[in-house]
Amino acid sequence: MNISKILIGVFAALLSTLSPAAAQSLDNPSDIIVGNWQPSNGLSVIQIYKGKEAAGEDPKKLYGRTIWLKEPNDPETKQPNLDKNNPDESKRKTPRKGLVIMKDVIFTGSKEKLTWGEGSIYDPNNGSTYSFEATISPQNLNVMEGRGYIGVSLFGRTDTWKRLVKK
Amino acid sequence: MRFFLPRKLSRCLIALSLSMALPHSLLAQDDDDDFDPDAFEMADETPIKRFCTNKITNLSPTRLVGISFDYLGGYTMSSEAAEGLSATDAARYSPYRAPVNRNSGLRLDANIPLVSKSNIIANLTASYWESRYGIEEATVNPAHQIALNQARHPLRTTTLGALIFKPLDEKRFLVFQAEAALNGNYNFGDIKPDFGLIKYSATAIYGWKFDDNRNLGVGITRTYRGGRVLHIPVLLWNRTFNDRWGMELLLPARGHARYNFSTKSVLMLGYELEGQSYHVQSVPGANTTYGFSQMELRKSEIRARVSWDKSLTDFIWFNVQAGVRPMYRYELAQRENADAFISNRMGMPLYFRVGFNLVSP
Repeated sequence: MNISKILIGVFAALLSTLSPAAAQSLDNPSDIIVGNWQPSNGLSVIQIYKGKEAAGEDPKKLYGRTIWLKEPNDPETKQPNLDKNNPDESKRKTPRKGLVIMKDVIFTGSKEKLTWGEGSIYDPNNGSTYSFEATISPQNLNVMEGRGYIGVSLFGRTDTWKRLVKK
Repeated sequence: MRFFLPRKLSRCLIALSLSMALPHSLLAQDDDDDFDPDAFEMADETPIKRFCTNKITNLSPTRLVGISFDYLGGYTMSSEAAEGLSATDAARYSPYRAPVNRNSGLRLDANIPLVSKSNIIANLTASYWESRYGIEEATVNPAHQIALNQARHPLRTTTLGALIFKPLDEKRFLVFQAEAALNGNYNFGDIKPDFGLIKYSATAIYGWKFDDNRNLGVGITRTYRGGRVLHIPVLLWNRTFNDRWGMELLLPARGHARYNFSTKSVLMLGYELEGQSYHVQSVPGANTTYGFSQMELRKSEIRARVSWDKSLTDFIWFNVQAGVRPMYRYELAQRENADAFISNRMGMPLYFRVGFNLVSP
């Protein structure tokens, strides 16, 4: 048998068995949260990434950007939905698609307990910024419990986010 | 035998190897302004059920913890025998008038989320309200038992309850509310609260969230807002008409037109029906002209008002209210379920309230 065919066969087998969850590595647990996530309402997709120095972000921290909106345009004006509730007036004409809504999140857990926190998440629906923490079960790296809260975690709301991967 | 790999295939496999060595998530961290949802799928196959939220666009913020001070201006309290009494009984209760300089009191409210997830919100509710009557005893007829009692002993309401919002799917939801209220002129000193007279109220609503600007619910409530227990239907109807205007109804308890200066500044115009059934006691040796040292006070009042909520920070909001307080019912009965023997007219004073709230916008 030709070695090329053998290798191709091995890779094909690998491709068919490698699940997205398996693709995540517990060797570097802080990065497990990196990726594209959809909140339970299905209205948006948030891309979580490591901070980019060029954008003034801290590369040791994690950020989340809205990369897709189910309704990107205002139904009345047909123009892109803007961040019109932002408390900073100068930012109210920024399109909601592309907004960095999650900021300064750091890994606060361990390999056994995958948690992130100490950052914030912004809700453009009301212009408020909440404290943010997230948990991922080591048994299922594709489901995240994200919690936005006010002051103490008690005053908050938990939502289930699911990881999106390329088909 | 010679193992041979064409150069192009080698490169292809190396590239493939590298791509597989990287987690999918890291591949996805490049900027993707043209994210195509059709090219992606959920990595976890477990079906996720989507639920509606309890909010609509621009709805006034949910108060989690609040402290406020309520103040009513002066009015005259006019007491007389209740309608329906026999001539003999009516003759026992002479009419009296007493000037009330003010009503005032502290209000503490808490609405603590115990569970707050997309598929259920369960809150613990608690409150403490007091109402002090500014009555000069020297201006009151010594036989005017209720006026003298209230000059000395403020009315208090302490409640503990639960509020549950349970979405069934993306359109339908249930709301359950239950509350136990200890109402009276108790002071934990010479007047002890009677825990056997705790009043229980509850509400159940089945609703629909049509879109982000409209929800509607119908249900039934057991309430003391009318001063005595009532079992009546309720209508929940919230509607946002545009960026500025909306309405928030929970009839018959309250109804408001809403004007949003912004998402951080909300003006409401409407009313709230407030009421309870109070256990009013007299201390030993006090005047009991009415012949009873313990009575039930049925109080129900309307707060017709303009209310303004303004954020000071993201989650600390200031509230100020102004309006009038017509009294719907203020009557005394010997006990629960007994006919009233004294009814009171309580004027229609101006009222004001200021408060601070920790809110969830």
